Parts: sequence; C-alpha cells; structure tokens
Amino acid sequence: MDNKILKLSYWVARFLQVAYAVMILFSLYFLMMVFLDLPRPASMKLTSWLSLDLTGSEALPQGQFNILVFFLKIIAKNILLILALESLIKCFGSIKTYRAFQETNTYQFKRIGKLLVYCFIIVSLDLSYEEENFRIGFSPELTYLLLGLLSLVIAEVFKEGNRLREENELTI
Amino acid sequence: MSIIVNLDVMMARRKMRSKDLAEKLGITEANLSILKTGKAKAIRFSTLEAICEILECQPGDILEYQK
Repeated sequence: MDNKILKLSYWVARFLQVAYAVMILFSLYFLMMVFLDLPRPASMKLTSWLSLDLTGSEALPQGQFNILVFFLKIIAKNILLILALESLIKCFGSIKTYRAFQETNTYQFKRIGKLLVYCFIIVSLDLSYEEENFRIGFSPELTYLLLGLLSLVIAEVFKEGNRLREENELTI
Repeated sequence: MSIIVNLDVMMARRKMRSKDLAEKLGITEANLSILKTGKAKAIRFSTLEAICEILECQPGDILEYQK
C-alpha cells in the first residue's frame, strides 16, 4: 500500500519510541544522581526538552521518596507507551499488506488498550511523603483512559471485521 | 452445524471428479473442497443453481438438515 499517511505514522511512532527511551535513560540518570550522590546541576527543574512527557515545567518534588516515585512513574509510563507503540507499528505492517482484519490485530489493539489503561492508573496515582505524612491520592489523567477505551473499542471492531472476512472467504 | 452437505455423494452418483465440477462451476478446487467438507459458512444461490444444473439434481439432494 502506497499510503503516505501510513508511512508518516510509522516514522512518528518510531520517533516517539526513541524519544520515550531517551526519557527513560534521563530519568534513570536523575535517579542515580539523587541516590548515588553523583554531581548535580545547579537547577533540578525540568526543562522544556523534557516537557513533552513530564507534564510541563513542573518542579521536581522534594524528598527522596517523592523523587523516587516521580521518576519511577515516568519510567513505568514510558515503558508502557513504548510497548503500546510497538503494537501499533505491528498493526501498520499488516494494514500495509492488505491484511488488516485478522486475529493478531484484534490482539494488538486489545494490548494497546490494556497498556493505556495501566498507564492511566500509574499516571493518576499520587503518592507523596511530606512532613512525616504519607499521602495517597488519585488525580485522573483522562486522556490515557479515553485512548485506552478507544483502543478496546477498535479491537472489538477488528474482531467483527475478522468474522465478516472469514464469512466472506468461506462463502462459496 | 446441522446442515450436512452431500455434494460428494451426488458427485459419486454422477461419476464426476472434483476437478471437472470445479472447472464447470468456475471456482477453485480448494473452494469446492471447503464446500464438500462442510467448512463453508454459506453458499450462494448462483453456485447452488449451477451445481444443481450440472449434477442434474435438486438442492435437497445436496443439502440435508440433521438435528
């Protein structure tokens, strides 16, 4: 299939995977800086190049526990997003070869949906430890939930499409 | 499925080979095999009509309902 949008989507997905992987590495570096006492830069505020994923120019939370939770959330979220993008890329491959309606695509979209729902849970969960008070909060990041649910709906559509394709192929 | 396809029985009675029937029907042998083995989900009226015409039989001779 000579579809420019499909090709563009493929490269955007690949680029995002690399970007998320780089963010994981930076998060690990920040964590090591804090916990292994590596030399720190003068300012620990997140700069614009990380704002894509770290929700704006939000300042780093204070306290080692909060920093640990903050970066672990970023790492977990980015790993889930990389896996979701990998599934999406696999779907692009099958669409390119005119085999969109098949079992594997249903599985891939279900997987994307589940990963995004996990992402929603991780991002929404607020854990902090301040002044000897441990706080668990929940501030829902609905974008991930909506995208996850949308993927699950698309998975059902693909399931129905697969059934119709099979029926069509088995009609003599 | 409770619909049984007796196409192979009818073909044997008329002494017709799969290859010849498939050729006359204008379908592949693979598709005819799907029909004979009961794997088909549906059959077009046009296909059924052509089968009946070639094998000189009625639809009931080819399709049977069993509980």
